[in-house]
Amino acid sequence: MVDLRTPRFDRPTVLRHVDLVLVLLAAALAALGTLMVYSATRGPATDLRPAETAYLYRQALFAGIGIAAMLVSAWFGHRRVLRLAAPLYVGLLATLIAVLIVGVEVRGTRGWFQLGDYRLQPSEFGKVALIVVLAAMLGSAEEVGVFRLSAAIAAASLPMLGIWLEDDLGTLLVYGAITTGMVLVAGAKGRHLLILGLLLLTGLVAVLQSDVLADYQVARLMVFVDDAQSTAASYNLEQAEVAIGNGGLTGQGLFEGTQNNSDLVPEQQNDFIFTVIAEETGFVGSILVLGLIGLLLVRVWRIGRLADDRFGLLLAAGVFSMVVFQVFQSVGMATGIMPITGIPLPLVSHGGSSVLTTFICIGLVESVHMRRHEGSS
Amino acid sequence: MDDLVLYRMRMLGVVAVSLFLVLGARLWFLQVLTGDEAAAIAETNITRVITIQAPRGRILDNQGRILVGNRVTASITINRRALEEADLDELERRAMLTSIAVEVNRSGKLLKVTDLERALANQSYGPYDNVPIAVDVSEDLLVYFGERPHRYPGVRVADASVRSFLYGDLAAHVLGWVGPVNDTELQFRRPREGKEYQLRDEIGKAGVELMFEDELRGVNGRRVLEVDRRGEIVRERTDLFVPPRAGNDVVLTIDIDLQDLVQAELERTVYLGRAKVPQSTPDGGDPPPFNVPGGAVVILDPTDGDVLAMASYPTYDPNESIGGFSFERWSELNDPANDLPMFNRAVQGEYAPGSTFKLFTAHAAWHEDVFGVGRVKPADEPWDDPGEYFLQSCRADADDLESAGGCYFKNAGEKPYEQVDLTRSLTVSSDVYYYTIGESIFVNPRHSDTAIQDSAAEYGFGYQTGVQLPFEQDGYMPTPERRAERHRQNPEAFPFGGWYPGDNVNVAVGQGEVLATPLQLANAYAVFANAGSRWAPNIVERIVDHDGGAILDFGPRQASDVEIDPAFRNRVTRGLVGVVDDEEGTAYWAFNSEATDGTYFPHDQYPLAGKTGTAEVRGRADTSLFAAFGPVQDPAYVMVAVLEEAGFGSSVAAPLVARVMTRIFEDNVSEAPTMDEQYARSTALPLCIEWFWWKTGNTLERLESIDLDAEPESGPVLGADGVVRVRGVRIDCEQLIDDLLIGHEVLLGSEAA
Repeated sequence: MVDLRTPRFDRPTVLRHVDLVLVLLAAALAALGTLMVYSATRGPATDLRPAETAYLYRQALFAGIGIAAMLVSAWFGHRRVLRLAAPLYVGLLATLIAVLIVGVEVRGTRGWFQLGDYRLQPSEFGKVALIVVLAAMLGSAEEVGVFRLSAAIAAASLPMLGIWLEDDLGTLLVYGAITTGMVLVAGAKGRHLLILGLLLLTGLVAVLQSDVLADYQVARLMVFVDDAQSTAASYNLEQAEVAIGNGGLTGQGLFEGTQNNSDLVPEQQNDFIFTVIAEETGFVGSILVLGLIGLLLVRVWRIGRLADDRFGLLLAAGVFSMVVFQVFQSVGMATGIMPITGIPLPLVSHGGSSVLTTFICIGLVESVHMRRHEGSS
Repeated sequence: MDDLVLYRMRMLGVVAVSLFLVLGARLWFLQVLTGDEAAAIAETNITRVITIQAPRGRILDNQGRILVGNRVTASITINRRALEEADLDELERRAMLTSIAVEVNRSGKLLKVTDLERALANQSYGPYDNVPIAVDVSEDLLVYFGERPHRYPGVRVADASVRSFLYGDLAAHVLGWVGPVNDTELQFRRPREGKEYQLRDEIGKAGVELMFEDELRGVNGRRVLEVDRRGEIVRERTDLFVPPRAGNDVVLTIDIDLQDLVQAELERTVYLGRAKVPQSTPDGGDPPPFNVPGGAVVILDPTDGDVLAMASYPTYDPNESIGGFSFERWSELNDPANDLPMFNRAVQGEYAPGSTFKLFTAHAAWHEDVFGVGRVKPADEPWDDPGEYFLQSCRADADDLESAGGCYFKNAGEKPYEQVDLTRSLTVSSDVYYYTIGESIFVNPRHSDTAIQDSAAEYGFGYQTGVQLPFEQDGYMPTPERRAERHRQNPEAFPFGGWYPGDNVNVAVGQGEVLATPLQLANAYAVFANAGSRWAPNIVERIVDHDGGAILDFGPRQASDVEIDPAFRNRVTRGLVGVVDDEEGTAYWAFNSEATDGTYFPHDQYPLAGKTGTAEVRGRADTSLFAAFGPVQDPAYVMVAVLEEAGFGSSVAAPLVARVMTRIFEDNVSEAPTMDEQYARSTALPLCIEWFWWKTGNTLERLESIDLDAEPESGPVLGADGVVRVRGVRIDCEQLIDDLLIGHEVLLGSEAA
């Protein structure tokens, strides 16, 4: 047996500092996600109709590629990525423009490239680019002054404008959350943050009051505010809540969720995957899954604290903000405490781009952990 | 790393922890605190309940023979959605509907394209429903339409359970009919637990089907299916399956054999009556013709009030109601020009009882001590009836009594009778005898003014009998108070509020606004026949559950006691026996001759009592009535026959009663054939005749007659033993031929030789 906790000075430093827990947690969540995606998509299996397995295989494939990508990005290292920040940013803007021109529309969002049987969502990968760019900008100096702050906000705004044009409210919010989290952690001054917050609030009110948002978007948002709104959106929400409640304390059992099997919750392999988890595994299972994600976040947070430079710390903070927001929005939407905007549950929801992006992010955070002594040694 | 950054990182961590705590709390609320409610909603979300129609209870006759049952039949439905999606133009649509109608008609069920259009336009069906367009069609259509789904989009043939009236129009008015429940019924009916109605459920509309709807209706079962969002079935929840419970069976007091006899004789009497020509009136005026639009017969058992037979003419076949009456047929059945075939004259028809009422006037006179007081002689003292009766103040509608100067009441044909006492007054039906009583009761202050009405009320006149049939009428018994009241309330329609001796004279002979239903009259005679028990007649004997367990046994229901002085009863009975058995009796020839359409009744064995009635109806021919009970020493049957616009009671109603009573007492009531048997007999007849010739012919001919090359025919098959099988009914040719040959032996015998 190899005692992993004993320092092995014969191995290169980098490998000595691998955070195995982070890797294992990410892989475990991806495996769990694959199982739940299968449950959400297998359909009620009968003698005449075997269970649908296409989604299972795809998701397993994505998880496999994701784990590989995580390892590659951890190996490649965040420092090398830092040097690629500028080209990454340019590439991000270029793909976001390209997707507006040649992209295909899926569920009302024009944010996808069609590649054979697979679809790629550049705005997902863009999250990595955004985190890297912001970490680079905000981490290059000890102090975050007005100029630096404005430059970072401006840099974040450009891709967000592109995503706004894609009509992808959910991803837009994730970008916002990443930016907010990173600006906060980077040490922006309190008064700057206050002004920024006021600006955001004004902008939000202006958007809701104007015609910028389509009616359906307002309707979906209003469901959250006003229960009496009887729309397809409120129906979705109602069915999602029923599914979650139907899970009870211990759940209906894997593959036994009636709401799930009856296909009553839309997008349940995707944005609403949590309803399947909640219905089939109950309160106990839901808390366990949230606990796993929580542990993963604790690791990411810890790595941020342990980072040997501002770039590494901000990188971890960005990933942390991204995952926290996605989890809160995804689970909150399913449980009816957040408005309905399609955001995948990281590592769990079906979808290659999302899984891949999250794994790459975890890989970069892992790299921060692995290389935290490089600077000093 | 500066402290601010690490501090901000901690802040981020705190935010994250709070957000996770919010999520945990929300999940606790949704899953643990309110999970049960959600689970209940989830349950209904995915289950679809399919109702399994419970079979309706059967209706049986008093010997347990099924009169009304259920049978499975094919019905054609069109799915509106599928028809719409087929996107036919007007011409194609029309052609398709015409073609459906043609195929249905070819299979033997009348269906018009307009019926189809009307069914498809029926707003009570949803856009996805299968609209039934023809119920009870041939099974062949199942194959025909099943093989051509493209030519007939949305057309489907499916099995459906429908009501089956096995004896056709026998006892149709008693049994009633069923139809789809309508809005009014849905609104007002309070169904029993588990028997709630859904749109288009079958519901009783008349007769026993209506009266015992709550018993007959079963408790529907249900299948619970789990479906997905698209409505596709995932699996069946066998744990939630509820089997249907059949409705209860209703056992009638009706004897279907007797009912068959009565209906056949009633119909025959109607035709005989229409053939008669009325004698011209003495003043040479044109008398109203004998239209005989309808009639009714009731037979009661006076010992317990059971209704043994109840017939109303014209009648209808309740099987026509299956799948709903067609629009035209419904109008036809409810058109007064067709004499309202659905109207049950036995309990809904109100007729002046005429002379059949004299029994009750006599009862009043005897029990009020009218005999031997004033102008009325003692009951046993004969006096002469001059044939007419002068009354000082005769009519209620005369303006000035003095100037009106009174008027004459006459016997039928102004016939005088000599030496009339109480007994003979009934035998010969002396009106003058009862005019005298009627006036005396009113004029003489010693008597109660309403003595006649009161005694009639004791016998049940003016009140519903309480038979278990819907829409029963009260009849009407006029009294001075009622007339005054009626005038006070509606002076326009009833300008006269006064009551005069002439009114009492009219009432005494069952005229002048006195109205009774045939059942009331029969029940009143039953009171006299059983010496004082007035029953609420039973047409339903008991209700049993599907396994035969008793639910409700009606038993004899005594409504009241009538005190009848035996001395009075004795005299009246002798008088009534005289009606049929004394040469002077009004119905003597009906019971002692066949020339009058009557019979030679076995008077010695079964002495019978009867009373004719000939009630005047303004502007029309008289109503012909006859009431009878027998055998007089121990009455087992009371029978009343009423025929509208048919003339004398002695010439139409009496022969009918004579024919039926003779058959009853000679124990010669043949078995009633069901519809299937009737069909089988008519189909088997040609084969049986062939078989008969073959059997009676010689052996050589027999051999020659066997055609070895003959194709085996489909349809009825004749066996060598002389038995024909038609649709599962076995017809014995020997029996069939014997039945036919009764009375025709000479004819066939000579030809056979």
